[in-house]
Amino acid sequence: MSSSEHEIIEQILSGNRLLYSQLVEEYKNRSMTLAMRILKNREEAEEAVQDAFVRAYNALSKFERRSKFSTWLYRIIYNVCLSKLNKRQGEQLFVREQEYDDAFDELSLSSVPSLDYETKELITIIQSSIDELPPKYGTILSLFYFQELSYEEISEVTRLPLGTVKTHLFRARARLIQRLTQEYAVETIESL
Amino acid sequence: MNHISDFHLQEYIDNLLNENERLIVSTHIHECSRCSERYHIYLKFNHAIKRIPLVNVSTGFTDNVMATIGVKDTPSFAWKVLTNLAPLVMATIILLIIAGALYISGAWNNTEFSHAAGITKSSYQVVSTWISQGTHQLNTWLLKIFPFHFTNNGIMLTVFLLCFFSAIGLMDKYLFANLMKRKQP
Repeated sequence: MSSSEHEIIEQILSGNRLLYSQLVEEYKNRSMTLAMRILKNREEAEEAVQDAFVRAYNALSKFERRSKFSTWLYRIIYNVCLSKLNKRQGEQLFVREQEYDDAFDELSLSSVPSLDYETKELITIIQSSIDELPPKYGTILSLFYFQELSYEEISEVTRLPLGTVKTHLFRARARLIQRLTQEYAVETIESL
Repeated sequence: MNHISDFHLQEYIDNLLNENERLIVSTHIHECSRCSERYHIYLKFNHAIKRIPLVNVSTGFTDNVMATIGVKDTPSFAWKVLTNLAPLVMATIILLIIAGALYISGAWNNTEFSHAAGITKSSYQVVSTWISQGTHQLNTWLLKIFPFHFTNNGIMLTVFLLCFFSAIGLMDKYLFANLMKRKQP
């Protein structure tokens, strides 16, 4: 954990509770990305992230400084999302997939003007391929690439053995690469 | 010819191999076009995936979280008063600075200045009379409560004002601020 975060947490615990908003600001979008990968529904994901931030605040005094705050927070988000997933078992998958598509439609790559057309297309394909991944792979992939956690930290968040984390990540990437090579000729990918 | 497995290729990219293993993979990639091709695809993939934008939360998310845990960015009582009276306070400070500058430079008592700014001078006299009468009234009122005369005792007046504003500050910090933020989680 960075020293500034450590200081912020110390100050929050000493009574300067307003500082918690800094931590929320810092991690809200990364947390939302993780929740979306697991729940695949914007409304539920945002609710889960909010719930997780409240839980994290209430349990802040129990946070042991051994790990990073982010790892601890993602662990809470992961648990809240899993709990929501368990609750909604039996719902129509089709509806969820549709909502998921709608939610990700908002992510417009046109907001990144520096990317050329081919790169945008590549990113779009990767993004849609990630969306099609089973949640267990999508979650690990998200934790690795978007939350920028190490294998060990992912293992800590998901409580999965390190070997399983490696295998899940390997399979997720292999699937995505497979999809990519189906869409593009190898030479095209290399030239992008 | 043997090839590097995808698993080890990914570990190589993620920097998870030891020195010896890295050297073997690195040498092989330079010699084997097939593994080199796969290696570059993985690199391209890694580069592209990191450019996927994050999913943003809705506007006002942080405020909602802070409201749920019962923490609001409530300004203190003194700050509210200051904010509301800010234009008046600023105007007073500016006028005082101008008047102070004129007084210190001696321009205020300069005959030419007085004649040239006759209206200002007469306004000054009116304001002076008001202040004088106001101070007198305040002193009369304070004299009923405190056993000393402020106009004749600058030190006591300073001490009184310091105590007065300190008391307001303490009340603001320990009473008003707590009252306004009493919603605890």
